[in-house]
Order: sequence, then C-alpha cells, then structure tokens
Amino acid sequence: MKVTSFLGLVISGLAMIFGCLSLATNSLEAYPVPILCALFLALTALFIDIKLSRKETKLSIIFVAALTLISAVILRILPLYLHGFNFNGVIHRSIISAILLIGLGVPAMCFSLLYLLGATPKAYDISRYPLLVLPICIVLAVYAMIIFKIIAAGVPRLNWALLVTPFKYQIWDVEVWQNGWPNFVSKTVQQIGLLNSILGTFMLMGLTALISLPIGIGVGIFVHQYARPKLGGVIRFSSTALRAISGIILAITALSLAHVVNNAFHDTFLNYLVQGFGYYGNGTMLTGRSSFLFASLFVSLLVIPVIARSTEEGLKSLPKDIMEGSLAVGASEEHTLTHISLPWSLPNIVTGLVLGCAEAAGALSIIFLMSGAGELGVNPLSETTSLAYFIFDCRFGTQMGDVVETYMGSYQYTAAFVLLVITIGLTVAALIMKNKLAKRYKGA
Amino acid sequence: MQKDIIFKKRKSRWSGLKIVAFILAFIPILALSGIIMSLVLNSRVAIHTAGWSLLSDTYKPGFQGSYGLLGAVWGTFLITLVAIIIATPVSLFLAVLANDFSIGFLSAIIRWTLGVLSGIPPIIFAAMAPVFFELFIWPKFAGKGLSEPALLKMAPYSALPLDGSTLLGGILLALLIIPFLAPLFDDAIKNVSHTLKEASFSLGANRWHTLMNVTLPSAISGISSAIMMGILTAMGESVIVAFAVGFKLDSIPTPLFDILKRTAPLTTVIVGFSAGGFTPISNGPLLFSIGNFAGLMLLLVAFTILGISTYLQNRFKKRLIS
Repeated sequence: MKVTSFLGLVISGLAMIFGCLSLATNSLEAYPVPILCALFLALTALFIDIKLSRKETKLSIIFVAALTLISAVILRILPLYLHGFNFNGVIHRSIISAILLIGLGVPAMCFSLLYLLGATPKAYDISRYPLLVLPICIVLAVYAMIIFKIIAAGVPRLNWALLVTPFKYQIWDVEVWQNGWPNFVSKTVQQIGLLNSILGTFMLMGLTALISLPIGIGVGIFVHQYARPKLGGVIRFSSTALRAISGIILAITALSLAHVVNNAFHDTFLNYLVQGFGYYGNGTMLTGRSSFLFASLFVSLLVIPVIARSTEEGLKSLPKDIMEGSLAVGASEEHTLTHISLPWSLPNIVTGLVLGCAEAAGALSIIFLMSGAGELGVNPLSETTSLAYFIFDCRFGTQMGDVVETYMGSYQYTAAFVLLVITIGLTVAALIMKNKLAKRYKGA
Repeated sequence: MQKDIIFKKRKSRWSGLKIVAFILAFIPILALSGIIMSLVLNSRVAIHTAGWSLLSDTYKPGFQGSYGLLGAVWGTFLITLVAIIIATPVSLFLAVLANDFSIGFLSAIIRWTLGVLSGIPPIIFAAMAPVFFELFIWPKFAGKGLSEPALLKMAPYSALPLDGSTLLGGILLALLIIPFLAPLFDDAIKNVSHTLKEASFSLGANRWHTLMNVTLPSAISGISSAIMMGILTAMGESVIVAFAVGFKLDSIPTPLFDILKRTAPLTTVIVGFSAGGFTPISNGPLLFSIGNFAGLMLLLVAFTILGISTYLQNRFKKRLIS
C-alpha cells in the first residue's frame, strides 16, 4: 500500500503544482490531460491495493478517479478558446484546466496521504492539511506579488532628493523693467518631489488624532461608566455604523456641507476655512477644494469608533481587585476613574490611536473628492493632500485637470512604497503594543 | 458582576467629567443623524424630478429622462458576491489553521501576517488593478494571441474584456477583506467553549471531525456575523472599485452574471453623479441629488445588514453565557 499511495502523492502533487502554474501562465496546455490520466491510474491502483490488502471498498476514491477520467476527456474535447452566451470575454482553456487540476489534485492528495500514513485517526487529521494550506498559499503568493511589485517598481526610483523636495508647478507673469519700460515675462517654477504629499499625510494623521482622541475617549468612558444599557447600545450602534457605512457617503455629505457653506458665506473667512487656501509665488490667493481641517473632521468620524472601542476594552480589562482597593480606601468614583481606570487603559487608547492613524493615512474614500496636489504649502488651512491621493492622482490626474499625472505619473509605485512603509509601520507598532497588553496582570 | 452592583445601583452625580463625557458621547449620534438628514434633504430634487423611474433599469438622461439605478444595485450585489466567495473560504481556512490545526509557531505566524496585511490601505490594491489585468484577466479571458484569425472570427473585438470588470474588482476587494475577515473568524472559533471540544475529543473524535461537527456549528453565529461585516466592507469600498470597474452607470448585464462586464456599483455611481466622476466640473443639481439618493439606498442596505449582524452577535453572546 505504501508504493501506490506514494505514487498517488507524487502525481497529485504534480497536478496541484501544474494547476497553480496554469493559473499564472497560458503555455502549459499540453500537460493537464496526461497528468489527469496518470492521476486516474494512480487512484485506481490505490483503490485496488486497499481492496486487496485491507479488504475495504473505498467508494469515494473510485468516485474521484471517475471524475478525473471524465475531466480528462472534457479537457481533451474542449477547444482552446471558449465563447458563448453573449459573455463579455473569451475564456482560455487553461483556467478550466487549473480548476480541474486543483479541484481533483487536492482530494487525491488527501487520500494518498491518509493511506501513506497508515489510515489512523491522526493520519486523517494530517491528510486534511493540503486542503487547508493550498488556497492560503495561493492568496499569500498574490499578496507577496503585490508587495514585490511595489518594491521592485518603487524602490529604484526612490532617493533622498525626492523625499525632501515638494512638488511644484506654477506659472505666473513677472513685471521686469527693461530699458526704462515695464515688460511682462512668464515665470515657471517646476519641481518634482513627494514632500508635500508626505507632510500632508502626517498633517491629516495629526489633525485627525487631535480631533478624534478626546471624542473617542469621551464616548468610551460614557458608554462604559455612565450610560444606561439602552443609551449605551444606541451610542455603540451609531459609532459602529459610522465605520460600517461607506466612506463615500461621508464624502458626499462633506461635499454638500461645503456647497452649503460656499453658497451662504461666499468670500468670507469661513468659506476659506472650509475650502482651504494658499498663495502663489506672486502673492495671488488661490482657494482649493477643501482644507485639511475640514477633511480631517470627516476622517475622524472613521477613527472615533476605533478609539472608543479600545478605550472601552481598556476600562473593561481593569482587574476588579485594583478598583475595589481604590474604592476601599475611600476614593470617589470620579477619582478612581481619573487616577486608576484611565491610566490603566492608556496603552489600549494608544493602540487604538495608532491604528486610527494608520486608517487616516490610507483613508482615501473620504478625501478623494476634496483634495488637490497640495502645491501651495501644507498647513491646517491649505488644500488637503496625502500620499494616497497622490497615487490616485497619478492615474486620474489628467481627468482632474492637474499636471501630477504628466510630470510624476511614473512615481506612483514609489509613493505607494512610502505609504506602505508608513501604514505597515504604524500597524506593526499597534500589534506589538497589543501583544504586550495581552501579557498584563489580569487580576487575582 | 460585582462591579456593576457597586456602580450601577448608586446614581452617580453630575460631575464635570460626566457632563463632558455625556456631550462627547453624543457626537457620533449627531454625526450619523446629520449624515442621514443631509442625504434625505439632498435627494428631494431627485425624487421630485425622476420619481419612480429611479428604481427602474433604464438610464436615459435628459428632459423628463429616466435615471434607473437598478443596474448599480445589481453591480453592488455582483461585486460583493465575487469578493465574498473568494474571501470567505480562505479566511476560514486561515482561522482554522491558526486555532485547531496549528503546529508550533504557525498560529503566531498567521496572526502576525494577518496583522501586517491589514495595514495595507485600499489604494495600494487599487493601484494594482492594471497589473492584475495584465497578468491574469487579459491572458485568461482574452486569449494570448489576439491576432489569431480563429479567435477573431469567433468573437468580435467588442466581446474582449475591458481593462476594468466586476471580476477584477471582486478579486481586489477579496484581497482587501481577507485580513479583515480572518481575525473575526479567528475570534469566533477561539470563543467556542473548551468543554464542548474536549467532550468531542474524549468520545474519540479526531480534530477534523471535532472541527466539522462541534466547533464550526457552535461558531456559526459568530462566523455569519463576521461575513455580514465583510459584506459591509466590500459593499462600501469605493477606491478599488473606481480603479477596477469605473463610474459609468450601466443597465443590468445580459447574461445576468456576466462578471467580465463593467457594471459599476452604487459607490462609484455616487461619485460619478455627485462629483462628476473625478472631474473638477460639477454635474448640476439634479445629478448631484441622484447621487445622494443612491447614497440613501446604500445606507439603507448597510443598516439592514448591520442590524442582522448585531442581532446575530447578541445571540452569539447569549449562547456563550448560557
């Protein structure tokens, strides 16, 4: 039985490898049919072997073998390209052969592994690993491909000058005196760099943290400490709902609010506050689509629930004996909260804040309707920009009517790499803090 | 429980901290009601002008035109379906591998990997849309040799896939929600009580049988509420969809499940109508209002799913306590 099951293992492994490869390439069309035939022979041999040596009739094996034979015949008959039913594409045969190879290779490998290890209950568990591991491997390979692509296309173009130069593209007329007469000369300032996007990302993160930290902590304290169950449930539901509803809904709400402000308070400071403004090299003021302050107001709606939940978790995790000790020595409820509970939950709050910052750095769905290239400086009142928006601008810049796509379109993977470093760095920091928190004193 | 008796029985006084927390705690409620109000107020024009034709399938702009959003609703359904079908088994396998089937450091490795992957923002996946199209969609669904005469005779050029399709968007969305779903599944499986599993083991069942017959059935409410949250995330994502599908409202595709067509879902239709599809030019009040109406539809669906998910979670908690 060892020989046949080992044979089955090898051939089914081959089938799985070729199945994964034909997901990636089109030029392996000669191999699936012979592999499926070999798999059929191996499974039949395994079936006969089990029948002879263990006196068992394993109908499932012969069923899989029959399916293998049928699919080999189907693959032999199918043409290379399939088209029909008014379907909007021409299906290449390799995708069908990949599905068949993987779908039949996995059960065949499970059977062979089971009988190679002696068909014990433990072997039964081990024989299930191919089924669990193969889809995970395919998906992890896709993630690895994405990260590899970003590093391979982005890192070679990365240099220090790019990181410290702001992107600038401005044309204005300058009055020059020549021979006693005024003359207007067009002046162009053109710089390529990522500094304003990077600073904008940090500005968005910082403002969002400033706005959402007090509100998130307040919500967490109120829900945990003071609210009656029903009111607490309503508050918790609405803060979950803020995260669960689409970011685009927040974005169009922001858009309508900006419209209202623009109509009611045209040419006042409030309007500039919402729209964001900056100055050209010759002193002309330019308004944008929305300021950092206005955008981070809406981004913080996404971050508040994260901080609120982590505050609540921290307050909940306070061991009972510590709090009872505080109450026993006569501290008031208020004093216990500010001196015992909140310091205890501070690491939780910081973890939530860091995760929220990572969220704000990547939260494009809210700000993409109200950002710009950010060439007029980065301060809380200037036009919103961020690395995520820069990547987006590299694709849609010409449609949007700016020049980022023309001048910096080839730097999108570099920007993606920088953004990835920021967000993954923040997420890993939060993970480390979470792991530290798990090892904390949990009460007697 | 003791803590609750100490605090909840005594009515706490209105101190400064409580007042501040009370005011701050109402900000989420205010924000949510403000959003709903803004959507309702802004969609009045659309309901007045287009009326019931908003719920039809035909899109014909113009005087007394028809602005049917049914195609966008179907697009949302299709793209979410593709994403969930790809993401659910993989996330479930990851969660199982991190719990019952873990060997050595495997569970720690899986949890760290998922944590790192959850830090990837959606724009990164969106920027990968052309790469995926070039590497997967084009060779698989167009054939390699476009110039092959047999191929050209079989399918007109218009039948070849575009650089954006529901399938492409669904694959990228699945990549986005796997790191989000797997920890939720992980929690659901981890919270199954040990007594149940040990009873199963003591009766002689192996790990696979325990998983299939004890662990997964007990965790089913947690798993289904996690799937609901995954559906919400996939449904509300707009950046990936903008890159991979596009903004143009289209009618329902004719084969119904033609995932190789551009069937823009509600999120990007909102962008297309309300913001002019990434152009600086505004579309005018009527289309802006129709975008808001589409937002209202999305919000209603999201609330329904959120309600189901909250109900399932509460049932899950009750079962855990009993």
